[in-house]
Amino acid sequence: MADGKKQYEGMSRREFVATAGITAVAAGAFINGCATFPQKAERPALQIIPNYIVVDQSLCSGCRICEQVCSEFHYGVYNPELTAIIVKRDYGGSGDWITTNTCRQCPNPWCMRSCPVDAIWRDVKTGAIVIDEKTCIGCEKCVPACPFGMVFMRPDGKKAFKCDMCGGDPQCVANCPMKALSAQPLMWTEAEIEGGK
Amino acid sequence: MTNAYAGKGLRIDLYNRRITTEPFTERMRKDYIGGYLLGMKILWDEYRPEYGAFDPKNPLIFCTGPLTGTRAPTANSLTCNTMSPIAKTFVSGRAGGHFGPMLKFAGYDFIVITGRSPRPVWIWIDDNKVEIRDARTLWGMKTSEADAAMKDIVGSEEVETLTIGQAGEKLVRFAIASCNIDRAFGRGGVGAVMGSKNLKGIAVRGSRNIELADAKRFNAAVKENFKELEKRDPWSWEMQPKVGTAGWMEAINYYSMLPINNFQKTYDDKIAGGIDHNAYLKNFEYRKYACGNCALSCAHYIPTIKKGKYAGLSSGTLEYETAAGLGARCGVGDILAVAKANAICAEYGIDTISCGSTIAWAMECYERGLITKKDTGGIDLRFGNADAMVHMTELIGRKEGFGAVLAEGSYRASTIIGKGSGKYAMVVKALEMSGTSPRGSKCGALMFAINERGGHHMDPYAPTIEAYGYTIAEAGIPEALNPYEDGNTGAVYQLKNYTKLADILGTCAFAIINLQTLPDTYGEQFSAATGIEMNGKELLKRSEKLTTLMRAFNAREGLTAKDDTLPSRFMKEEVEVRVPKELQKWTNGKTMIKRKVDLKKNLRDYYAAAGYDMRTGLPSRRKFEELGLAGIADDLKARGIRLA
Repeated sequence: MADGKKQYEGMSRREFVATAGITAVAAGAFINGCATFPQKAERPALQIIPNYIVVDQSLCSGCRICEQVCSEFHYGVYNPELTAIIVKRDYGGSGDWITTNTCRQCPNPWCMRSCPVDAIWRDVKTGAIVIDEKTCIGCEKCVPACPFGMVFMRPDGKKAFKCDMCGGDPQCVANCPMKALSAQPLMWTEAEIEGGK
Repeated sequence: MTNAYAGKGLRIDLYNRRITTEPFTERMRKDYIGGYLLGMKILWDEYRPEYGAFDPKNPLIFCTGPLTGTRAPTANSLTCNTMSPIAKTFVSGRAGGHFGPMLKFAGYDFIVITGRSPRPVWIWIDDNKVEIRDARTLWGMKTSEADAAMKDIVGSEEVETLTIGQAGEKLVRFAIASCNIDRAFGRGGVGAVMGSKNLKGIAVRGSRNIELADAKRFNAAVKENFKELEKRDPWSWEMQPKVGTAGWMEAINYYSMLPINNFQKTYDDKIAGGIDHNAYLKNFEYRKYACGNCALSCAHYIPTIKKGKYAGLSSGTLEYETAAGLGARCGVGDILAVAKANAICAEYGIDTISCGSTIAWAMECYERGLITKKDTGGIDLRFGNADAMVHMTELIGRKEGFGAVLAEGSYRASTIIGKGSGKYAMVVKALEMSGTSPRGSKCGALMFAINERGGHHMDPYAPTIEAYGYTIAEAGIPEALNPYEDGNTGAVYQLKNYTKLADILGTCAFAIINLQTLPDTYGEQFSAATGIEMNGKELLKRSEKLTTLMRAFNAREGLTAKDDTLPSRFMKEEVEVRVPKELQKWTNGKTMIKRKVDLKKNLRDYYAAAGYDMRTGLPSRRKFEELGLAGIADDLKARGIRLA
């Protein structure tokens, strides 16, 4: 029953955010405005992501260097539970037996809409959806909200984290020895962002 | 501070079901670093010569190195030390995959397993939670099935496993422990030791941090290391991701080091052509994959083959040693048959090198009339009979029929068969030799003879160094070596200590095998990661300590300099060796020479360089003291072993 209730709360919150739209997020950004977060209150007509992370699954060897680099870059330690890029390996399986997954930086992110304290927004400069550590209360609502399972809780369970594209220069891409990860420019139009509401 | 280390080890007594942790103190870390050296130290302390491999008291020790789990190139080692059921001495094996890093993420630098469980069990390590679980439902499963079943039971895919197959359960003496299904502790029978303890497997999941003393300095050192790998060994850098070690087949045939028909010939273009990387690329679609933190990705998975005799076959990596063992040694030049036998070996959990070598021994005995169809159960065990090879592999895995004899390994099987079949068993210290013929490389011959753990090819892998003329001034090889003129082998001692660095620090041999990573680069990575300042020279001293410790262990087991030898075939039978163009400078332009090994000359120079006594094969007492092993010297003295 407890689980059911939790889910219901999440749903209602998501609906609320949907009506409030992206303005609330922009306002949040304005109030909390710091170096890594967007300074402008206005939403740009186009969202350009200069270094969008693209995975070529056929090239990936599953070495997990990207995972190592990710946790080391952000937290200064190696930990498979502290990475925002996940390499899954299914030995002996056929077809897609190594799958590398990371945040899609969706045009209309479910994680952002699920956040009750507006700790998640889009960094206009890099185009990444980011979680503000200070604002995050660790309610875990964003974790099940992501359809790709790419928002995580830290092992201590106190804060959520996800791919922030390392401030515009994704380290996983820079260090991938197989060149399976690449950074490509991507552009979302206003219509796409609006349509996803 | 426990930078780069987890700072503690796990001790599991399967009989009393007691699980304890013990600290890995800073002093121990400085003295014994990790990997083989730590494993060997624990083995020396806890094993006694009177035990034997299948004794419950024989400790099964898994260690990680300080770099394991960090981002250093190929840092994914898990090493295993225990008494070998097949060789006359210990096993020190290494497996890649992702188990080693995961063990450290779970917060353990090493595991020591003792005791025999009354019924089958497996061990589940989930950070602090360590459980001994019932494995009666897993008993009898293939390695891959056991892996899937364990993941099912704990309900997570993010688990790394170490499993044995039926061969390990049935104590086939060269059974493997399979790490993430496709990587393995191949040599020496680690799987059989696990089987003797009724231990089906270990699964581990971790969520602890591995910290670095100085991340910035460490990353710079890693960058430097990558540059070295690329610059000093461009061939591997290009070859390994494409076809893995299968790419060596062509080269080793070219350099006349292939063990054709149980080492009776040194090259055969037809057989080699059937199992080399060209045949590999022609016959298989494959998917490459890598062990943790490795940019080389030498492993490949071959998805199901749809057509032909072996339709439905899917196989793991077809390594060079596998193709040489099950293919070249048995005279089989059919890559599909080799892949089939490889898949059988992986499923049952047996070592492809020892398996191929033992079958090759049986084939030679069969052709020489020492065994007949009556012994083999109607199998026509001739060189080149691919079906017989595949069939025999399966029988060994199941330990049925003649397979039960061969499952003892060629050394013990030859004592069962008798009739002088022992001289066809290509073993050193009772462990089957790997697939590099000693005729084409004098240091290769020496490498087998002096290897403390038996006929193994990894410390150092001298044949490639001679063939390609690699040099490394820092480890005693300032100029290229002549592979054909016996003697002048002193450099091998330093080379051996140098290549052991990878095993101690927790990286793969492929980072050092062709002398890519310089000692000081390792020193820099080690210092930056752990905060324990040590340069390449000091690390090399630790390597020397390991070599000395292994020598001492062998002496305690009753081995002497007499055991540093090769099968008589290599010293007596003169065999044609084709000299490739690059090496004709050593033979005055001759393209074909006849060669047998003068091991005495090689050993003499090696012993002199290492400072070993010609009779005991041990260094002097002063050396023991210099390396901080005085206690071990005393122990040897108490056992009546005299040191110079």
